[in-house]
Amino acid sequence: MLCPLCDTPMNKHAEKPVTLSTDEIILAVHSCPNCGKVESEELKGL
Amino acid sequence: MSRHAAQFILGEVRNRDGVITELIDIAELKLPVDDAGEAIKDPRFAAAMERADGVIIVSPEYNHSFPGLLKHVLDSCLKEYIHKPAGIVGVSAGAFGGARVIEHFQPVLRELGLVSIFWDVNFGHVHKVFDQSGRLLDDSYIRRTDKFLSELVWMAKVLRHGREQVPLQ
Repeated sequence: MLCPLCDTPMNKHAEKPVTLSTDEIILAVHSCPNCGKVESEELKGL
Repeated sequence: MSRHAAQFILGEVRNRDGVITELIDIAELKLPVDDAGEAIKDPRFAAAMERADGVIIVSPEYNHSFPGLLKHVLDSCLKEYIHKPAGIVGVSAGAFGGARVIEHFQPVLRELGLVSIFWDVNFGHVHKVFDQSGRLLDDSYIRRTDKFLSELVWMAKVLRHGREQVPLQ
């Protein structure tokens, strides 16, 4: 994933299971080594 | 009295070189209470949590735990917290200095993705620690807070390096 602010390749540092009201997902969290921006993406369910 | 404790901690953080901080008073966020979680995310609070490399939570103890409104605010973010350290400052009128609120926070911090540090600050008998104007009456809290902040800053540096440079296998 590229940072939406500075186009630097982001580092994936976590996968976290999250229980929503209607679904269970895995949230993949990325951090930008250049500007510190945090981004997440939903992966397939548990 | 929790405001006095928060202002004292804020001042101690600002005395440290290389640390930038801000105080967020959750009473000023005014999040709606007819929904919860990321559906009611406050963009200013979320941006502050994203910028932060660490979080200090100053909390009074209500009925042996933290105020529901504080949990409501913390629940409004998630990705912004993950792999960042959190230190808890407990405030109480009794002798335990918020020890129970700190214990109750541990499973919550874990589920939010925050990393608990192992130093706390306990303001017990808080009405004797600060006068009505917020002036500190017990200088031992300067030393206690210094240890707490040293641990938090170290964790913040290490975890920032990890978030940005160490890929999840």
